[in-house]
Amino acid sequence: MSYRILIVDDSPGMRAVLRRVIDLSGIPVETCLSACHGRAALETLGSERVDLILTDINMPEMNGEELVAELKKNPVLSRIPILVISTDATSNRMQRMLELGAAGYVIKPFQPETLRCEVERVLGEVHVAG
Amino acid sequence: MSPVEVDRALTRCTGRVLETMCYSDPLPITGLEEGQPCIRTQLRFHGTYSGIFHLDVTEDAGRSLATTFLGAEEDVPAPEMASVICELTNMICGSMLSTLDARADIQLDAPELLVDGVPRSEGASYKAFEIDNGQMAVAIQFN
Repeated sequence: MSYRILIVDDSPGMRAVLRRVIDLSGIPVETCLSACHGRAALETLGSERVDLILTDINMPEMNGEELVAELKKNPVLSRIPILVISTDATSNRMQRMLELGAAGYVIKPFQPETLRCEVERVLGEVHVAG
Repeated sequence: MSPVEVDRALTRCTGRVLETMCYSDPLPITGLEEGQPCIRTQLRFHGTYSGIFHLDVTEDAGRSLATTFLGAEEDVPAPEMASVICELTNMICGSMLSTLDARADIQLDAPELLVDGVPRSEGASYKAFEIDNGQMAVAIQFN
């Protein structure tokens, strides 16, 4: 199976880094879509099938916390696993994102291997659940 | 938090971000050499702690950091370089605030590129480093 991944980050540089890490990871990827904030991500999800969402938190228009909350309200979109990728390593923020329904939390800066393991773990849980 | 803790966190977090994302090993120096063209950013933060974070990097060093960060084989164009420096600003500041207080509740604004340099304020913690192809300085001031 090849996966469809949506990267949500307002930094073009960070989107490029995430895409490169995924490209080099060996994870079978059909396509990597991207959005520059939560609202753009919701628009993309209106027309595209996605297997995994990687999202930053601090973004304009709609931040990552609002995005996760919106997705969890939607019966179809709520099934897509969400991996949060953020510089914010405070326990309050991590706990809040996980309680909202994020499947994992990767703190920036990260080693490529850390991100690859988390992506594999989350996608593996999708397989088990499916 | 004491000024010593802030200074240590500034050094440690700058090093960690540059080593992890850019494979760069920053060496502490006293300050940036004057007269060099620089890329300058600032980021405001709010919440349990509020204040402002600044980053200055000499242009050649900024280009090297951006090229490594993006895994590019050639020098990256100026807009991409600016985007990477903004992202490094975000990472260093976020990492530092989380290190200083893991239970804090902090919101970071988007990093901004500055046209002019910002004079070093009284009371700001400041650290400068020699890095590949140039120098970088970071400063943080709490309100």
